[in-house]
Amino acid sequence: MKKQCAQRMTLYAALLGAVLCAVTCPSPRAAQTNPAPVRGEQWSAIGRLPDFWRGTWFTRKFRYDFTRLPPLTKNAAAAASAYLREQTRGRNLDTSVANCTSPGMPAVMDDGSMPIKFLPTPEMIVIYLEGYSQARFVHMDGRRHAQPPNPTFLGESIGHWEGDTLVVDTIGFVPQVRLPVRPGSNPRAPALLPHGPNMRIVERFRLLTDDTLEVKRTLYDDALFTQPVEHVRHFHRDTSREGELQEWVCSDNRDYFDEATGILYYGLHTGPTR
Amino acid sequence: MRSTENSILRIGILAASIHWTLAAGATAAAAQTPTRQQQEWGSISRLPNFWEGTWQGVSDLYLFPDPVTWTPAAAQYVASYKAKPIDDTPFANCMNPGMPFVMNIAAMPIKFLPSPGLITIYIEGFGVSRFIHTDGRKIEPEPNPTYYGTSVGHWEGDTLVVDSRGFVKETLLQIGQLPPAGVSPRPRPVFKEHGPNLRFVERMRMKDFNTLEITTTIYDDTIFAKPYESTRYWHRHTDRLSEPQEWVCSDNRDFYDNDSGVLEHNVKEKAISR
Repeated sequence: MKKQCAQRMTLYAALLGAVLCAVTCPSPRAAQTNPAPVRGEQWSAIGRLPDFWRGTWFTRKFRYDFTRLPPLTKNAAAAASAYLREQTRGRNLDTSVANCTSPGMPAVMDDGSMPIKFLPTPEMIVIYLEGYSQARFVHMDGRRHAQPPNPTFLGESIGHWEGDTLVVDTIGFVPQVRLPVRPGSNPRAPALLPHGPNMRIVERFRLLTDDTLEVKRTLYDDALFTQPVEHVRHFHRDTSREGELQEWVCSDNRDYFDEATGILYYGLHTGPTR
Repeated sequence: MRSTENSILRIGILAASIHWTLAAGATAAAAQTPTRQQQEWGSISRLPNFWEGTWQGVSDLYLFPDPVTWTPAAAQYVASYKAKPIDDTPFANCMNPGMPFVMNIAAMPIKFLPSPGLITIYIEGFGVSRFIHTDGRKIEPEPNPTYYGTSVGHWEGDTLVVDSRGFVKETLLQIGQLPPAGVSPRPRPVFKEHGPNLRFVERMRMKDFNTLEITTTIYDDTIFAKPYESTRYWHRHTDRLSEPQEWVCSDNRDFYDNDSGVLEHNVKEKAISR
């Protein structure tokens, strides 16, 4: 009986499908001139993923997190001490945002005053960072890292899902990216050191609640740290209009850092200051 | 008797099949009723596929086909036009050109990122993103002025219509062109600061799967006696070399002083350290 019933249903479905298709299916000619959207099912699949997508996300913790001091290599510890000594003498060595550049990863993620937004596509998840107006492209197509990747401020990111957790592996950073290694007397001005060649970041993103996103970040850099450094940061969802993404343009590059001499110049806009 | 049995049997089969059909349908409906999130993301697949890969501009940087009808004041401006230094180096200070010029950058791709209520266009040149609200909102009477304006969009059939208003005065607006002069065989662009009512309406549609056409109508009643219209084209690329990449202006060696009108090259060599 079930077989008969199934056959009947198949027939009904076929008939119904034929009738519907006669009304709605595009003709082969129409298909040539206006191809059907591809990867349609993959867009639908985004709707079944954990909803990172709605609204924007703000973090409330300051950019530099020294909840636990990172274990430094001897060279890094010496460089950090020298940095802070110079800072005490009044010299500002923080060039991370001079020249209208980005501070790069991971600091660029953690600017609490401006939101981030996840924009998924079937092949990549784009993370737009309002601060510095940058976009991270997290490739979700199963590729491996390039050997070596083209160095960038945000690195080359490859992601995959482990259950409800988005795991993102990022390598390949430009030399300008500095990592905070020791807090200074001013907590907002830590010792920032150039990263080593093997810098790598692994982030694990998951929703703790509908409005709370947790990011567990493991930072690898064997030139600076004797063991990987872990941070946990929470982002809060904002679906109000005030929380929507806005434009960010660095239109006032009054500071200039000369990489050749290592000198940071101030006040080019209003005339140099002494 | 046999016919009665057959009838009863048939009725039984029919009843059972109706019951099974209804039950199966109800179960399937319960299991497959898409959530709002699934519906919203699934609906993207039914839109024209602007999304796959990236789009590479193929039209001229300074495209400005005649005829154009200026206001008397703008016509006078063009007749006596002398390029200011910033016109020759519009990208000094690591500045963004703003709308509409940012869409003219052909060496680097753009990518459309759809999401419920918002279409983001990532523009690799200058590493900026435009946010086009498609949730039915209207542009507020006095939008916060930005380089890329406040944009709302809606679909008219297969055409995405984007209305943008609210621009900072620094946007790079070409209002015409002059005959070639000097060594370059190319027409010389004429730039002018826009008026308070600058507005763009862009009509974006795929001519075929690999060709995007954007017709932009420029409204500025201080410059154009009649709204000016130009059409540009983009080609789709889906290979890895054409994927969106990071863009950071990390070498702002030129500085333009808005107050004095002086463009300084290689400011780092002239600056004085404090």
